[in-house]
Amino acid sequence: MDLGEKLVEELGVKPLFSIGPVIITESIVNTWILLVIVLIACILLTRGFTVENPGKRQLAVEAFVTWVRDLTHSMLGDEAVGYSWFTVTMLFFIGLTNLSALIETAVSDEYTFMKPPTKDLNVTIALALMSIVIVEIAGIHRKGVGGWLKSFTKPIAVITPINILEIIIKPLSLCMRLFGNIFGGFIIMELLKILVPLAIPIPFSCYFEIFDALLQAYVFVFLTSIYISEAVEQEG
Amino acid sequence: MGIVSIHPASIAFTIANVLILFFILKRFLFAPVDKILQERARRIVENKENAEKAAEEAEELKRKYGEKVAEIEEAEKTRLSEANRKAVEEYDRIINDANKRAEQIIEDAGRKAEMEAAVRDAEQERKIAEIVSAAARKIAAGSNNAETDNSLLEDFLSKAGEEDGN
Repeated sequence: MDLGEKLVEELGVKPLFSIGPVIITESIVNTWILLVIVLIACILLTRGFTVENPGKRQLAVEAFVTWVRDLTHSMLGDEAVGYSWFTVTMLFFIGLTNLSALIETAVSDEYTFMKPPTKDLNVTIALALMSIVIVEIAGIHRKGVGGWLKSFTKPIAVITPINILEIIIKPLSLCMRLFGNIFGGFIIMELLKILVPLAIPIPFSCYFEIFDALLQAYVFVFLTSIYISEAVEQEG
Repeated sequence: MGIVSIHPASIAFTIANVLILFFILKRFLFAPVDKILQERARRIVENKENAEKAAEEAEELKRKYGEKVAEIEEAEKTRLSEANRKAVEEYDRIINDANKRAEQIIEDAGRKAEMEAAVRDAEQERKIAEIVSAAARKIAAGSNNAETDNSLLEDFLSKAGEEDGN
């Protein structure tokens, strides 16, 4: 199998099994495994919390939770702070699925354990869809249906078609950016591993699988936050 | 298998997975941490309120004690000035008494001296009367001439002078 074929195969999503007509792909199974890991980690990390004299683990978890919350609050702004639950979840989901590439292991031809689900276009499409739905819901919730429809003609009526196109462009760019970055990073890593299998890929792996993974999660959430705070912005 | 294959089921499952992750985070990460943070914030506020209350009470007590001390000082001052006033009165009274008594003594002494002088005068008058009566008896008993008159006069004068000299 030459490199081109291998990459094309990597791009594709392997269906693992199907329940009736519903096909379950490996990215979904990997996400489920991740969810179980997150659940166990959360239970273990928050066990035995005390109000007085917290231990190091508790202090670390508290600091992390406070930091994540402050981060999403600052991105959303005061008016849209009610949607922070969504951006926090997105941050965790994308960050964790991207980072899962670190423990990626090929189990068989059919299934690769922890092949990052964000490398599956379907997953990023789902995330982008959720984003745009939340953005539009935020706008409708804030301005009412009439106000929301009217907001398409702002600031001038001429750009109404562009504003309508944005409903598609915004999520498309979100999903493609995430997918493209993770997949691009994956291709570069594969090429590097073929060219120099020893030592050299390690710093690149750190960059693509840790830094870029977290950066893409941040960018996705940051842009979603901007869209939401734009949507709830009151004019005048 | 195409490069881009869309599985609607994958999209639906991913959406479900995100919602599940949201539930897990909310229920198992944020809820326990928030509970602790809120409880801690509540305790901090409570402690602060307690401390403030204690400080207020201490301030109140301090104020009360200050008032009491001032009262006591005031009472002490009144008592002292009262005692002072009484002492001055007593002093004045004693001095007055002493003065009065001294005046009395002086007066008594004066009166006594006067009485003594009067007694002495009476004595002298009595003596003079005796001398005069003795002289008169002598004149009546002896001859009446110029010589005897003169010697009698001199006798009388010398006796009177002796009396005066006493």
